[in-house]
Amino acid sequence: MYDIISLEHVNKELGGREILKDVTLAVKQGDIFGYLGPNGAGKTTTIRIILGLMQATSGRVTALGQDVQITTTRQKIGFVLETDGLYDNLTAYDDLVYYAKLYGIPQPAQKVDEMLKLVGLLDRAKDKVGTYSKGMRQRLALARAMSPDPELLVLDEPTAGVDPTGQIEIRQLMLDLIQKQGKTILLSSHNLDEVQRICNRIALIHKGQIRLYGELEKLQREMGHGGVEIETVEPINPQIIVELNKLPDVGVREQRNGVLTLNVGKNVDVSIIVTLLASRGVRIEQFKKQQASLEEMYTTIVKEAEQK
Amino acid sequence: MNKIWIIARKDISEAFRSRSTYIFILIMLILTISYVSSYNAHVKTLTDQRAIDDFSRSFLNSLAYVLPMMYSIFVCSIFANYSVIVDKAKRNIESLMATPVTLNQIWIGKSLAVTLPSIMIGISIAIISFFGMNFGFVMPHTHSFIFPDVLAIISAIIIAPVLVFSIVTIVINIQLIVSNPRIANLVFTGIFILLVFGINALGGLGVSISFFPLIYLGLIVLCAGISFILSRSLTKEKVLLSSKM
Repeated sequence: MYDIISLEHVNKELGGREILKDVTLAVKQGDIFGYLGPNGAGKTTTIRIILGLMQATSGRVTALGQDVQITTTRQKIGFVLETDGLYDNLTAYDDLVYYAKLYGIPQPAQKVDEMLKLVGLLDRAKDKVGTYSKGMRQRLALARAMSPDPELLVLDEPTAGVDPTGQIEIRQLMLDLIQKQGKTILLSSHNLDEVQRICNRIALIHKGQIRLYGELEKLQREMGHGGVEIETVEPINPQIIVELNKLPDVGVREQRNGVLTLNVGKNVDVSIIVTLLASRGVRIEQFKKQQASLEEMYTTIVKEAEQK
Repeated sequence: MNKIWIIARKDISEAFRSRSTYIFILIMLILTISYVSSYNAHVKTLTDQRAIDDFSRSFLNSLAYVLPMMYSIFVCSIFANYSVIVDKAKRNIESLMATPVTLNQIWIGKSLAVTLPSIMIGISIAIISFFGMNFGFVMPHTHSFIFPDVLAIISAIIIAPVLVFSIVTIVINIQLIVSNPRIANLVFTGIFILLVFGINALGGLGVSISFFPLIYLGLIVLCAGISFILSRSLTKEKVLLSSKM
């Protein structure tokens, strides 16, 4: 899989202030890449650089293997920015046709109808955008982003202000774009639950520096406090718990509702635990390593960065 | 070129959906009436028919030389308001710049969106004024319809529009990179006032109105030079950072 977006040692200075410091990250083809960080961390600046709206002070930025300043590169990028960029005085239909023409889409009217139908706004197509709710505007902006059939979608808070049902629809839409159409999505969001649900890779930026970066599941495992959960058919005999506690770097945390939770050191081979339990006749229903939630990871990283 | 027209057409259609555009046109018509009244005031002082004919011809030519230019500049500020100021205030310009359009296309597209309707309105009102003046005020004194000079027509339909476009490109460029583009809009008002006083001053110095096209041409060259210099410092980042955050 090749890098759809690549930032190598990117720095950005504005008015003598360092906004981005040595940012290096790659978004791979087919990723739903979550870009996280508190307000003012540098997310929007990164997005602006990726879209060619700003120039990096130093470092290398490419999108779809090309320089982002090239117009043909942007031809293949759809976007939803912090402000939706829709014109209040135009109808939803005219708004989308305008952008479709700028992208040089052949038969823009047909494409616009298709997109409006996709986001469920076809019956409001002739209404002025100024009369739309925030949620409807976001859906319309998403329709605009998808109109040119882009290879890459850059979405800055696409579900902000959208009601829960709308959020589910937009999330499903993003997953469909990945699974059925092979698109790549860069999703900047404050909604950690949303990112955890749909993103496969993430980067966390704080004070202009990337603090966490990689595959979400792997990161969750790495930051998962070394916990192991074992679900058994019957409660485990206290004698076996004593035996488990005697294993090096293993400690039983609790046993509740047929689930035994253990603290396990980083270098412990967990198969020893399973073998011990099996040899004592314990029937295991499920075994899983505990993962840190994205919220825990986010809080930990941000706190650590604040203390530095 | 196609994308320039797409931008220009959208901005023009948006501006014509606003009531303020029509209020501006109404103001211009009122200004025309005051201009016309100056003819009546002067012609009454003339007794010789030849003098009346010469004055009438000169006055009607001045309409062709001055009105399209003056009115176009006057109405530019309303179109610039829709094309740039609102776009920057709502940060729609950010989305526009992220599309596969170059900044120069946006700049020229928006300049055309301001220039074309302004010129159209300016020339239309000048034509209406010309015929209205002829039939309503001049013909009772001269007993014949007076046509404008060829140079006056060329000035009205070619030279003045080009000059307006040159001025607009400078103002739009400034509006794109300053954080308070409304101030840049005052340039249009300034030029309008300058024109009103400039015409009077030149008349006082005895400069014939037929020299106006030459003055216009000189200004076109000057504006083109300024536009070229300004275009080199126009970047998306400047436009973005000067937009309302």
